[in-house]
Amino acid sequence: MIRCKSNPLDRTLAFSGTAILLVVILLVFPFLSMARSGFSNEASVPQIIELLAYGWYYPLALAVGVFVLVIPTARSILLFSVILRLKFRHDLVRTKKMFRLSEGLMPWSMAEIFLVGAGVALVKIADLAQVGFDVAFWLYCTLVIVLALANNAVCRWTVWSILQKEAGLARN
Amino acid sequence: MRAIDVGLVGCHDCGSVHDANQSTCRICNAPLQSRRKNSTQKAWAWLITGVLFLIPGNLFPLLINSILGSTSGHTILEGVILFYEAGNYTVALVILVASFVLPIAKILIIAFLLLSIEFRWAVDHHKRLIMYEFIELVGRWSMIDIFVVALLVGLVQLGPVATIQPAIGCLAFAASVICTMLSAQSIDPKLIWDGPGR
Repeated sequence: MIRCKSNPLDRTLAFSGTAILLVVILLVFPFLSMARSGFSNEASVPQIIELLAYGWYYPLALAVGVFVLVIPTARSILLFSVILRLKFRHDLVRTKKMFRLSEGLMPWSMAEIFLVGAGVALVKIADLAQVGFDVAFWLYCTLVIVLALANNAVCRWTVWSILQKEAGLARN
Repeated sequence: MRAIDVGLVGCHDCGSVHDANQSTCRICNAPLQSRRKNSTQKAWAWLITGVLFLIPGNLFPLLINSILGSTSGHTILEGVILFYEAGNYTVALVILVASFVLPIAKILIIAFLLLSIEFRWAVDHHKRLIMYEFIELVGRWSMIDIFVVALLVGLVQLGPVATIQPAIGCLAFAASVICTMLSAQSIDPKLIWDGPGR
């Protein structure tokens, strides 16, 4: 039995739009900071990825960046534009492709795992230095919640049935 | 009853049903195949690569830390022991499960599913489908240790006081997780329903 979710299009649009905004803002703020014996350091998410990227570890930095920033953002952008296209009945053939891609990206979106990783990393360095949560950390927490809400709001059934109806109309 | 029994094809992406002679899905435009081509071969190839990467991933250190002049590195299991000795039992358990138990369990489950498909073992279809969905759902959580290393490297850069650098084990372990995820994705779940079972 498939039960349609209530108001799935508007909710998906709202949550994916919020996710895009959150990513843009959190890129520029520091994520975590630490200090010990007069030395201190703070790093934003792109800086963390950049520091990892040298020599043999370039692919690793690339993978981390793709899994924790690029794919969650790409998925949000895809969902946002799919819903807009459905609402305005714009180029539905491409919309199908975009929706399939966003569904395919789902297992590779690892924002929530990164956040748990941040928790473990903090425990690890708690004895070593003073650690502080910065703006981007809280924004990232919000992003994880918003992404979960967006995933929950997407109703594949509704999207495919609208696309099917439109495809039927186009043929007649 | 399967679609294939009545001369129909089910779309892998959106689930709609088509006549066997159709080549693309009328709803989502995905290419239609009754069963994905070479699905088990691809899954085996990724799985074996994943197992090969998992060995150095567990034997070599994930990171190297230099704290006040003394340098040391530790592997995944040594990291778990360090957390345990420090009294952080929850974190030790999370890392043990996500980075050690899960990758091995995932490999065993994928191997079992592939063997059961190829040798047509009579194992309950629903149980096997649950196993398949389990590995699809939890496979990515093994990346946790990689993200911990990335964060530590990015954050602990305090000149002579303390620095942390990634080590070769981290690369191998990440490659292993990615390969086993690709292996799980290569399995066509419809093949589970082709063998005997209840």
